[in-house]
Amino acid sequence: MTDDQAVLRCQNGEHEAFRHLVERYKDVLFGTAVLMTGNRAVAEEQVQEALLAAWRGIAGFQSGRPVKPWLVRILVNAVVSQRRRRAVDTVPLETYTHADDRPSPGETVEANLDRQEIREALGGLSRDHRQVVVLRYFADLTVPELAEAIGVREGTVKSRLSRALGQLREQLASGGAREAYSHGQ
Amino acid sequence: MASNYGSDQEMERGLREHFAAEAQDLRAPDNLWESIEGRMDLQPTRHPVTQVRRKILGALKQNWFPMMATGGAVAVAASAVFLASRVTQDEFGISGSYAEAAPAAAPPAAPVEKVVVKEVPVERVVAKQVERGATPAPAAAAAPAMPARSMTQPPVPLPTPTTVGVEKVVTREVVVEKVVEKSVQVEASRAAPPAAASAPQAAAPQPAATPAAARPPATTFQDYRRQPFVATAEDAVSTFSLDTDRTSYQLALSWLQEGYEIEPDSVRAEEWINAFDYGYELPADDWGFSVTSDVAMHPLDGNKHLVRIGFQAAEVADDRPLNVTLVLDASGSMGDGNRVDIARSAADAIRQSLRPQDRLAVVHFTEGVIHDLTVEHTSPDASAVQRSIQRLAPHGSTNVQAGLNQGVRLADRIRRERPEAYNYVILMSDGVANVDATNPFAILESAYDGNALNPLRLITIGVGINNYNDVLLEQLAQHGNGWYRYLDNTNQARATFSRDNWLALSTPFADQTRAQVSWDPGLVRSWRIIGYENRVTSDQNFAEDRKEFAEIPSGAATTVFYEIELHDRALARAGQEVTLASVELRWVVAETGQSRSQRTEVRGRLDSSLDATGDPQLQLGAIVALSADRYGGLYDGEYVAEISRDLTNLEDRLRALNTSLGPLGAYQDFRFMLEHMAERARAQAPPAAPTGYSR
Repeated sequence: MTDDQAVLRCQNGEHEAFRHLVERYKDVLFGTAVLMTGNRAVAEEQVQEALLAAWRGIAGFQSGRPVKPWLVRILVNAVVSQRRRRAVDTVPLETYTHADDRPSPGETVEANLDRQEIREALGGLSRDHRQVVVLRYFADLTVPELAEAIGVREGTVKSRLSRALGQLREQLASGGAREAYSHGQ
Repeated sequence: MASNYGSDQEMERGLREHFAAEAQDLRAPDNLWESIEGRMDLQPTRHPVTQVRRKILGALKQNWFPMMATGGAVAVAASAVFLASRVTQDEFGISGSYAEAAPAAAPPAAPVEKVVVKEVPVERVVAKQVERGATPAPAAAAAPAMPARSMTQPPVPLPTPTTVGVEKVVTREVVVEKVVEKSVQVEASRAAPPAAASAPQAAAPQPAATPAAARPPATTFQDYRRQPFVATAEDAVSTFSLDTDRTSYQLALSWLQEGYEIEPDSVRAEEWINAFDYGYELPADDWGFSVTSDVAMHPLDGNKHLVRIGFQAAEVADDRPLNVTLVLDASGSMGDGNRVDIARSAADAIRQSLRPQDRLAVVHFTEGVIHDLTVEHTSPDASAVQRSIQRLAPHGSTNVQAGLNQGVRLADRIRRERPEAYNYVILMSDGVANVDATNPFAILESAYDGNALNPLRLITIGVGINNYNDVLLEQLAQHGNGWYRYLDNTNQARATFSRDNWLALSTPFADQTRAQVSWDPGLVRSWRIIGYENRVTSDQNFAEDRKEFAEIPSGAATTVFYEIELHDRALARAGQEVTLASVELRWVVAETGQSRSQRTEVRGRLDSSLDATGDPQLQLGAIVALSADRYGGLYDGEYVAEISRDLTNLEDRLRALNTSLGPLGAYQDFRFMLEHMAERARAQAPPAAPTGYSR
């Protein structure tokens, strides 16, 4: 079943068609939510809320449009709404990780260290910057899809991405201070 | 260290690999479908596109019918688009304009807002801006004072254009005046207020929705009215205190990054200007300052010029030891977000940056001082200090006065024991004082320090977005002989207080530093200072060393921009270099307590455009200054169309400057900010009047 077919069948009220979409996209939604909130329990709750909202709203979904960006957008809205109600706040990104930092099977110690460092560097980004990085490179949205998902212009997405990449590189290289501001910044 | 990510492409590849590995650990729970299936309705809800349309039509009929009757089709179409976006946003809490999209999960309930407009006594030096507050209303006074314009785009009118008819009050007394502070308090559990929530703005209709429509709840800041143009025939002398703070800029950036709007009345243009490094040359010796001045044609107004004056302090090495007292806010509000982590990181970074000859004390306060955690001055490496910093934990209410009093007591004691040392009291807080004295002057009065020769220097470090009191922290530092910084994450906290930065910041170069610019009335018709609204002082105060003037750390720079209007006889000398003003700086040498002064001239050619200066830093500074200034004017709700036009123009200029500025983070941040500012102004600007032409 293609996404389009599933959407059409959902619009006729078929639960099984929606299950098909859920199974296809649940991992990317859950991962995105964890990376945005830093908390697995909160992420699970937000994914559930987002999927229920998608089900309620699928009758208005224009068939032929890609499904994933639409779902991600609903999820982003859910997370932001929740954050504004202050149930979720800035949980450091590292907290979602496992209690031990042992390498996964087949992963070298060095690769595991790299992962830790990148996690920490991501944790040092502002929320906006982290959001675009996660949506671009984890959820694999295109820049126009990302712009639509977070409600800003494409230029803004590009500048946030570029800034975020710059900061990550800088932090991974040295963890140094921001450039170009007058001293003491 | 992680693999080498020398370019953005390598970083992108690294991130994709990283996330691919992470994805293995980030699989959704197996029972996800079961958890939602039971909560699904049998049929998906018909999405209310039709309801949205109905609402638009209803609203058009109800509110816009008179306009339809008198206005053109363009205006109606524009209002329909606006209403569509409003309805979509209001209904679903999303900012996109896709009517077919699903609602956000659990759209937030309408926030319950309490708009509290309170009068708080604030002590201020009688200054020009206070006097001019009484001048006639802007629109009435503007027209006659301005010469005829040949420009197709008129300049943004300013609040009070001249000092004509205003008596100049000369006084050195401090008066108490009532200043209105705004505080919008939103119930914490439902905090998602619209931008138009503040009291003065709520009354005015919001012409359009903005991309990030919320203001941080319960923030407190103060609107200082923008300075007017002053005719040199009335007053050719401008006096102000220097300023090295950049908190207003940092706060605005953080708000935007957190999805909030920049509040126009929170903008202190001088702190935006001074956030950037303009690369001034250091003075040849460490006696005083290097003063740089530039003159260029005004980028937004062909009838005016722009003048930049930069003051660069010498970098001095000073081996005097430090006595540092950390006063840490451990109140409940600090539990919000990562405030405690930031404060802890900053405190620990300071501790690590101190040298063996320095001494450090720690005070925690909530509704009172937490005596168990107080550590009196000792070696920065002492384990008691480290433990105390690590045990910072939020609870209870906030008595800043109690905390500062205890800090000052400890600082005063160590100062007497070690008179050779510089003394810093560092307050880290969100500024939300709610027990005992809550206004800065009452707090400072009880923590009074009468020792002018070796003063206590009060540094305030602000943390937090919501529920944040900018006024308190800024004023405490300004009148406490120190400076004010804002930190929005732990990396920034560590970077700000890294050893190198700390060494420069904690070496005072000049105290009580102020400048006086005397314009040549033969050449300059009128002048206007951009920003510095709460740093401007009466000309007579210049002669006195006063505590509220700025403390300048070693190597720090301050920049000021003026907009000026020249006499025709000056313009006739456009091709020559002319002297427009003299500048005098006065300060007290921090090391010796000796008063010093230094004079220089503002010289430049009048036919040079900003672009032709070939100095990207100067151009950037001009854009930053004018953007902050114009955006601050949005608070008044007047001249929105002109402000929108100016910000759009400045946005284009910044874009054009992109290549020369390069990819440094600060420029990218500012581009991001200006984009939002211009967008907000455009959204607020009234729809263009119909021209009579068809589309």
